[in-house]
Amino acid sequence: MAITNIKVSNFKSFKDLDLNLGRFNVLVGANASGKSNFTQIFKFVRDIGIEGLDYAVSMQGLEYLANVAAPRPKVVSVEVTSDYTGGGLLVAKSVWAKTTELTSHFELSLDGNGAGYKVTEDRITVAFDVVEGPGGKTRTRKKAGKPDRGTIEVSKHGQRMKQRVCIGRRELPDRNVNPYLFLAPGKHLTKAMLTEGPYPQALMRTAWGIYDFDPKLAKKSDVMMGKLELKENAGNLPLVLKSILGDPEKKRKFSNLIRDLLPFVEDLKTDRLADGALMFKLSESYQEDEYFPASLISDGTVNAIASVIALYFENKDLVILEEPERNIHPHLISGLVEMMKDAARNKQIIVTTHSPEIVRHAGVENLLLISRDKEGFSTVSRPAEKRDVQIFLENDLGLDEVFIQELWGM
Amino acid sequence: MYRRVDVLLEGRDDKRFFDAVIRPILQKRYDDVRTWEYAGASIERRINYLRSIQAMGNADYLFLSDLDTSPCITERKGHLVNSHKGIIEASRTIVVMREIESWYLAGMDDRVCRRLGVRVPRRTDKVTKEQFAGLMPRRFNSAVEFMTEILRCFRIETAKGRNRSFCYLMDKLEARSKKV
Repeated sequence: MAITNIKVSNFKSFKDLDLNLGRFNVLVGANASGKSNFTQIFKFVRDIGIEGLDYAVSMQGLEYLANVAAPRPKVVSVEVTSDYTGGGLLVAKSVWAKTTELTSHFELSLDGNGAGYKVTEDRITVAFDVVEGPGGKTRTRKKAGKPDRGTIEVSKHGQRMKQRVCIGRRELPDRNVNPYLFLAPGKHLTKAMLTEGPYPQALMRTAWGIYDFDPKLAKKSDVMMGKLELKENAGNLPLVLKSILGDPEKKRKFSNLIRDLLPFVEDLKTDRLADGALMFKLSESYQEDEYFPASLISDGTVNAIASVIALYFENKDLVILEEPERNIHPHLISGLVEMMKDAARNKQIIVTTHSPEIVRHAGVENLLLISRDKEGFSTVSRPAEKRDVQIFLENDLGLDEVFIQELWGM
Repeated sequence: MYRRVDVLLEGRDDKRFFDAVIRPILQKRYDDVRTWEYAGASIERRINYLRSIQAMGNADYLFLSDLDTSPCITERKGHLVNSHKGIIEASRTIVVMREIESWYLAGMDDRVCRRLGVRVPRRTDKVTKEQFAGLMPRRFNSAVEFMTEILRCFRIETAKGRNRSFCYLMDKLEARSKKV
């Protein structure tokens, strides 16, 4: 499930954001332009899905959730649309459909003194194409020759749930709607939001990996047991490596990928220390039998190892990497970008960066530029669509040069 | 006398192939083998790089490029020479038929094909990036990893028989080694 569009209003430094996303997205922008706030949108939505709304709001800080310049009462809204290609679904009596898209929309109203909030809108919509209508006939839109489209919508107003199914503009009477479509939400009426319920959108969010590696933490020894998912800061890297290296097929794949990025790496292994903690070691091609403990390994090497794991070994639909180029020599960056593009065939990738090398190898079509407008709000645009950028590139001024000199134009 | 060779490659897939297959050959003949990935670099920067190499006096270079949309190798070489304002010599240009992926596949012998579960055409001169992706077995969900696995068991003699442009490069390197 890849995110195709994201809309937010009044979230942190954003006033109104309406952005389409591709499989591989590289976000660039000056310091304090809003890159971190952009990734916070995904953290916020993910945290709602996993930990609940109260936790998600507290992690953002209630007083900093809404834009400081937003009028009172401050209303923050977030809408995430994902592709959602599903199998056959009986929507209503004799109407079979295939799901195409899933949209989650919610709106929070913050009270005047910043002490509380309430959910003022909460809606999940599944779009579908009708593949078979009553009588077993395929329904087609008259002019376009395309299937009829419809939506299944669940919305919540206070403690009341509203559910409806539409085909085109016509709402189907409740008696015709497949009653099993809406079985799930019933017991979740007491929950704060729909997105905390067992809906696909909520489940999807558990598959969002957001990483900001800290090589100092990643090099430390770790406990022997715990979650095998790579932590946001890669603090459990030894444990994750132990799991990968313990599986022959994963180890083969991992070794191939690591050597492609870091040709001097001969082998990696994990060791149990006297206190029971786990640490990892690395041997280089220069001295094959000599293993160096993690504490002696360069920060860039650790970042590269963690990046390979996030890109290829974490079972995620979306991977967000914050400034993965840190501590990595520019010469290795092209390999890292190539891996990001490669991994993007199976999962969606978003990268924030200050690296001209990443920009150069990413390709203008994958770039997103974040900047502040005259009022100080963050906005995101696509350099590929800017005429000035097109002219610079046509005249053979490299993309990295356009980036370094900030020649994007308005 | 110290001699260096600079090889201009388009991107990472070319470099990976070069490092595994061609670099060891060049290392026998040159003291220093350097690569430069020119994808995304302006023509002016490439020209400046080539001028620098030529000014060194003791440095050689090779310029590797895909056939792209050109109908034949001669036309592709002519295009490269012209677009780089004549600074590139056609004799130092190697054109890959058709894309670097075709060279990867060319080096897989029948035993390796069976082991990896890949059906490689007898001739790979016309294989494109997309066809390469289509041939990738299910167990590989990464083209990078698939390429790395191929290179672990790459056979130069097999590749020479399966791809004309790779054979041309090998013959050229052999001829050059006699001169150096």
